[in-house]
Amino acid sequence: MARNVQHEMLTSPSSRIRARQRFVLALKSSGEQLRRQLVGSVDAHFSAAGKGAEGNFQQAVSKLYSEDEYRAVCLVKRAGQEMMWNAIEDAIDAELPRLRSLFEDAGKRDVGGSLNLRDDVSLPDEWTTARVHLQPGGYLRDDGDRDVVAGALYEEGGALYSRGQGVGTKESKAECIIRFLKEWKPDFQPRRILDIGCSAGASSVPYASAFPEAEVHAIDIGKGLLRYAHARAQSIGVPVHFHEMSAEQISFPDGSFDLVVSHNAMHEMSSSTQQAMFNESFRLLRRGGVCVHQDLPVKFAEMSPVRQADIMFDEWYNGELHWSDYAQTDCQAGLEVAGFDPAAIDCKPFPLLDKTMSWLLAAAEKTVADEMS
Amino acid sequence: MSKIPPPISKREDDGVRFFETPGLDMLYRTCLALAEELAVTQDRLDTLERVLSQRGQIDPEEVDRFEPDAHAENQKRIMAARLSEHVLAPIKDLVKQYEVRGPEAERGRPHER
Repeated sequence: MARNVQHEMLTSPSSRIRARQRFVLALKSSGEQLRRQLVGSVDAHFSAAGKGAEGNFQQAVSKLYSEDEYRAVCLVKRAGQEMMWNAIEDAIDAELPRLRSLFEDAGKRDVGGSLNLRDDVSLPDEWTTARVHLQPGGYLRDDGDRDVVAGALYEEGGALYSRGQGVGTKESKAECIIRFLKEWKPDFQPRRILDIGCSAGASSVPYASAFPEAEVHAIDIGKGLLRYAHARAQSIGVPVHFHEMSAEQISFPDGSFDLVVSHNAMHEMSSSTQQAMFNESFRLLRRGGVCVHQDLPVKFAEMSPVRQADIMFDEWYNGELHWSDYAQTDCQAGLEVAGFDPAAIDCKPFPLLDKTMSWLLAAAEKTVADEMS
Repeated sequence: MSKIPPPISKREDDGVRFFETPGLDMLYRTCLALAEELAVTQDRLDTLERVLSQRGQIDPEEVDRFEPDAHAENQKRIMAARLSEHVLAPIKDLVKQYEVRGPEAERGRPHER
């Protein structure tokens, strides 16, 4: 069930909007190629000048961001992102009544999934104004009790962005983790699964399909994301139980899951939230249970100063709140602090089926007793 | 972990101008908006030509000779105005901001704001 899975919550844009989306996709793709080419060139000059060693990050930032060519590339990247959201938002606006009505009817379908929203989830202040990836209104956008726009934007934006990058068209993130699990633990058959930071639920559904005997729960902090995720899963006909909960405080009893997963969530968390998620993963797993947290394989320590300066664009100008934190994080250490046995932790890049790139998988098995060590 | 400040400051509304030369960002954005409009038009034209060609109804010379009636002429004017609005939108925003904030000299250089 890769990115191209069809369901009723997806929009059918007019030919004019489709043409805009095609153009934006082409613009982003060309802009990305230009960026890589230019950064490679700046990097070569910077290194040749003897500035490739560690500690020259600030010099690299000054050099890269003072180049007119790089500023032009930045502008195209930022403008392309804004144009993408405009084209997607127009498609969603045109179908809002249909999407709201699908959400209202979602619970009536005999699928078995559920939606559990609440008003007592405490969040860091930064999230109230954050526009991650410049998504209009941010992940917490909530325009009323039938609102699904945040989820629709997330899924349609993510699909368009990924197509632009050529990522996930053959194998979704969840499918990649499921394949990893089959290689790592061939006999593993989870009965209860938790997806943390599920957003629009695109990664929660494949677990319910791959493990039909399992009960799948998924949590996120955005009401609009969760309403959409619920309607989406019900439309596909796969039972998932969605809950409004923070990764730092998950309201399930100790030892209540066999598998805990997250997808592209770590890079959107502060270091303390990420550690809290690892701690909660350990607490929530029963003995023999497994967690797999997937994200981009971005490591500051493995990059030249110019490439470090380049990827900071996303924190400075593309709404990524914790990109530099994530790029310097040590998942192995974090999982050990949470209580996992170091010998039962496996953190590594894992290639996609089509080998176009790898995801970082931070995996661990709970080999010790249920009590926190 | 302390946050690293951006090398090119963002504005209060979370927007950013990458170039120091006033107006250069606007010029780039204008070009991109224009290219988007052109892409949509090309796409529509391509679709029309394919549909009409499939039906055996297209005659390129007839298209060249076409004289719009009053209604068609009005529609074409509206289309042209829409394109113009889209292309000029970034400059329109700049003018609006000027009305609120006053001249550049009183605000400092764009990248320092």
